Amino acid sequence: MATTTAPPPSPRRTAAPPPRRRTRARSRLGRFWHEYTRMRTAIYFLIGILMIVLIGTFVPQEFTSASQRVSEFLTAHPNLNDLFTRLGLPLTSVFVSPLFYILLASLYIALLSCVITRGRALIVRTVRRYPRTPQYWGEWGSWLFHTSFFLLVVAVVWGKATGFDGIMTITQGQRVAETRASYDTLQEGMLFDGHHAGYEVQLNSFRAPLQANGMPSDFVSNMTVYSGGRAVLTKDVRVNDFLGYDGVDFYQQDYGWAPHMVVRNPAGEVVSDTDIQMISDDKTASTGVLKVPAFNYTLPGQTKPMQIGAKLVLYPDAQALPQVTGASNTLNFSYAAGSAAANNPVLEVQLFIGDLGIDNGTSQDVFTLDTGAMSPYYLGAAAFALPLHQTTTLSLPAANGGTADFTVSFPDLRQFSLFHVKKDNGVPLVYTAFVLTMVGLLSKLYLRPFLERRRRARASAPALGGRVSTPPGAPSPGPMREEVLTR
Amino acid sequence: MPMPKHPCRVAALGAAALTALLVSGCSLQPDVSSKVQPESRTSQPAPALSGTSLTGTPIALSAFHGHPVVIDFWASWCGPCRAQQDELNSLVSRFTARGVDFVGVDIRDDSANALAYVQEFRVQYASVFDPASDDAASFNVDAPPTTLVVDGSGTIRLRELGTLVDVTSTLNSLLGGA
Repeated sequence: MATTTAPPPSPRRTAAPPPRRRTRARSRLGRFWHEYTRMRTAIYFLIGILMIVLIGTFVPQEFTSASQRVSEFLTAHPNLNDLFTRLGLPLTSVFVSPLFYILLASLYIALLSCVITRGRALIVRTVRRYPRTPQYWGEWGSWLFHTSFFLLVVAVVWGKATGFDGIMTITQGQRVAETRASYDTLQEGMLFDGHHAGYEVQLNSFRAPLQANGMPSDFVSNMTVYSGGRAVLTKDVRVNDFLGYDGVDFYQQDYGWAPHMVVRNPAGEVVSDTDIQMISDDKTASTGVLKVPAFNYTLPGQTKPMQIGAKLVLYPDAQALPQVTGASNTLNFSYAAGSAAANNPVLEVQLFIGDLGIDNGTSQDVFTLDTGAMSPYYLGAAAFALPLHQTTTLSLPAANGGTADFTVSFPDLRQFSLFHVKKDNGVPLVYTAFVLTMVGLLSKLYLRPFLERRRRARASAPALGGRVSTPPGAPSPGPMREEVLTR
Repeated sequence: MPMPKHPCRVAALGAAALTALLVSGCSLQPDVSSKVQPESRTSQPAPALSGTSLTGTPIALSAFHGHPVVIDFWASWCGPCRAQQDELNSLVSRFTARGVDFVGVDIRDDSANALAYVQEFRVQYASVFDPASDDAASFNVDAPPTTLVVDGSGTIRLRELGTLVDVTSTLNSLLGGA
């Protein structure tokens, strides 16, 4: 048994732990690393990821499901969600949860170790020209299969870093350019150069045919792409059938009603003529906000022109409910939601006058009305109904104690489509990774057994005196093959 | 081909890089507002700008050749545009007589709303009506209000987002004095 003498410790190493402790720690670390990089451990990680994916399939998710469904789930299961959030797995956002990232990262770390170790061994075997056995090719297949998962990660990261992801809303008949200023929200990759395609897209029409149960059977946006002023592509865009042009993809994500409203001030000037985008989950009752910052009318005694705003509720199929009110027994109507079809569109308008809070330089949410510096137009902020194609005339105080009339009209009801717009340069790499995965898997599962069968067949041929034995279950090489092998 | 001497260390380093990438997955695409530069001095040639004004008359940037031009991208619904319009109007009063032209580009807007805005603020210069944001695309405008100063030879000298702080000094330097 050879004896070794440990070298004297250098002065710079005096602070290091004694060799035995270091060896023990190293040994423990080695055991941990060995356990961690075992196939069994990787399968546990995979099972964990699968469980999270299952949760994400059945529980509504914040970034992909309707917000109402997410809220309903959180209201119905507050304790359950709190518990899982403490465990690092908020149930309504599992795909961006710490636990999901930790499991994914753990799996990839183990995979990386496996890929490096196996790759190194394979390269050594290749460089030293070891025999090319079926196992050798099977090992290459296995290595390729595992390595392609890394290509997949690179593809996803590359796609995110060099692309962008945004939300764009387009009303029927509207044409918008694919540029930063056209997006409602936009996230650009860290390596994206900031230059967008610049071509125009127009929403020609939108339809959402309803089934007998009132739910839409399809969402279809007919869109045309214009490049250099010329129509270059027209397509029906559906939920799983996107429009792609010049590397930018438009996915149908949602839609909504967009009542067209016109406001005239007391001077009779049109001060607002616009489509109001409304938000809703079931489209039977939608909410939105009208803002008229340049109303261009100053109330008596005021120095600053007043602004008007309104909270709106749209019933595309309003159900009128007669009501008798007041001492004079006046017959009025209130409205309730019917179906999602535009059978009897009625707007409920809750009007406010004053300061919209828009002049202080801050950007405002288009779906929120800040009534902090506004007064309800009617006492108690009561709403009035405005059916489609109708105009309501309202009065404001004027000079000399008189009144000045202004009007609010609802001449048309349109729809808008909400598109998820993406540029993802990693898609070709994802496909490449997929092909490599399949090549690796097929090599491992089919090429190696095929080569082994062929080798066994070759090896057994002389021993049987010119007859070829076929392993159970293997296909017969056929008479021509027999002849060749018996020579 | 040289083999890695310590595959475990290589694996650990690679794994750390990969983990960082995975964990930073969400921040790879930050909101565009965090990338936008509020102010920049440039020397890029200005793209062509032509179209129809809010009142229907044709406007072309080439008509202003030889004079510095201030181009303001705005919208009637834009709060910051309303907040800086008075300051822009005062720049118009100060520099128009010195040979500077002003032109607006009204983006993502409805013409009636835009005309009401022009009337409210008594805007003295014409604006190209650009509801599809085509001009915003060719000038690579992020959002309104964006103000550009173009010199007499058609080169963009200044680009400002949400502020007019350097417009005066840029115009003064182009005009050759205070």
